[in-house]
Amino acid sequence: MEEMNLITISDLTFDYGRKNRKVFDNFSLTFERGSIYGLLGKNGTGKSTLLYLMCGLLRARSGSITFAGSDVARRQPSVLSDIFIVPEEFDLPKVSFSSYVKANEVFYPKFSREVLDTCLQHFDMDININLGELSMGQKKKAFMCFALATNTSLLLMDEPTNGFDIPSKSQMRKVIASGMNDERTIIISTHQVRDVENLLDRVVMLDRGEVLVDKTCMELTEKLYFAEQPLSVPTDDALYVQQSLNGNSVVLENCEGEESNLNLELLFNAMLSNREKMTEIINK
Amino acid sequence: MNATKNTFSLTRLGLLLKREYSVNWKQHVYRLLAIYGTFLVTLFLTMLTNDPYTPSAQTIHHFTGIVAFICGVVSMVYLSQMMKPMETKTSRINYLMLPATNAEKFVSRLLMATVGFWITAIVALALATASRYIFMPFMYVNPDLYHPIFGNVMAELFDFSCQALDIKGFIISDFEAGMFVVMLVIWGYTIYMLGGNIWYKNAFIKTVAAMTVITILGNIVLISLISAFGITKEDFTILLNTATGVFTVLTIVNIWLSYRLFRRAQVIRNLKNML
Repeated sequence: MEEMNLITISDLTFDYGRKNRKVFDNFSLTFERGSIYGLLGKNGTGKSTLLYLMCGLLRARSGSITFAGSDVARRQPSVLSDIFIVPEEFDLPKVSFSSYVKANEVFYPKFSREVLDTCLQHFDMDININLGELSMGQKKKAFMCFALATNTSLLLMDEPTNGFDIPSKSQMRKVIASGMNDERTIIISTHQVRDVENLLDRVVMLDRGEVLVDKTCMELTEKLYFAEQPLSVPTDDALYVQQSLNGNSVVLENCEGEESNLNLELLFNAMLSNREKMTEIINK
Repeated sequence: MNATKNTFSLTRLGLLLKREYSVNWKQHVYRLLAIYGTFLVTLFLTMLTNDPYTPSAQTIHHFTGIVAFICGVVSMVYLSQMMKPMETKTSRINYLMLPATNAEKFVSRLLMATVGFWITAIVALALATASRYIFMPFMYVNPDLYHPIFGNVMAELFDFSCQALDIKGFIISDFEAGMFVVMLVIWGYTIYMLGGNIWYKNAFIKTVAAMTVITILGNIVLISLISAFGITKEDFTILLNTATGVFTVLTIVNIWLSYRLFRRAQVIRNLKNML
């Protein structure tokens, strides 16, 4: 079990100053190897904070976060060379992308030029572009290519689709899928759940410093049934109902074992509005 | 987990320095040009204010004095900006996530602020002294100044450093005086290093303000003590050696504190947490 877990968060307590409320209080969570996680939650619930804590950019008041057995707070090179974060906002120097890659790839022992070339191809970009002349979306694509090419065991992405147009979001999904392997874990924190729905293996949902959901997509669709129904169909048994263009979007308990596609937006809203019942069913 | 070692590595230190100069080369070139421009203007004005009958040694001496002052100030600016990669949240994320030890990152920034500055200054000085031929034909100067002067300026700068140790009056021995001045100067520089690790933005101005307050308070205390107790020649020696010891300890404290602040830095700025 220990080897399966890449990141182990134990009894974590964190706040942004003693006068502020605690963001996490005795919080525990593990992330396994070889999965793409979706980290969901309302604004201000601590998603970005958790990502920063996991890579040692923030220090907990108490508790521990270990990455493959090492304490991330020590920021040791062996850990840092195996974790990469694509933050929501980032800086890139005004040099050619090839110079940037040459200067930084040496710090990542598993860096792969093949992966970099593949990612650049998916994004229709050239390695000789000048980073100073790119739009924010293009910079993000370049940075994402570098991030995937580092081949780190843990890749964290905070709102990766912000600034992307629709074709770019599709390209991003291909790029992430092509950069994935059994030894790698990718954690994507996002509000734009529809952009990453088809990528995810597991869903972790946070609310008020607690874990509401920590399940695989398969487990969720085994326990829950997501459907679009006409307005005429009764919704008395529904765990959650949301009006849509076609009628009602509903979440039901999957008593018959029927297959349905996971609808993260519905799941998210359902968890927030009917927390106890949803938790009971998911954890049955 | 990969086999990356977690102990201090000179190779990785070299890679950090290489990364900084290859990624931020424009910034370093602009700094070189700024220092070069300052030296060139200084040389131009020095020559303008001297006539053909002014001995060349005197012109060089005047120029070197101003160069020494500029180097003193700019080196403090460099030190106070040693943590420039920590200035904004986004650049802090980049720098803290770089796979190197805290010590390697700190030493690399310190080397850039000290050795890097002096190399830049020497190159700028060489370029400025070589560039003087552009305007010299239009000026009435001592013909001796057409000969290369870079070596003379460097020799004078070295002499200035030695003369700074020559304090007249109560001094018992040159060694004690020299040690005091050396430790005082080094301590002064480490204050700017500490300032650069406390205030990431506008660190130089804030450190100058802090130093001004420290200097005024220190002088008030010193003068009060001397006035209250009087001072003999023997007392002054003891006072000098004690002050040397105090400044040595304070220098070590400054360096230790600067490193500690960096080691405990986080993506959000919280000085209390860093201490």
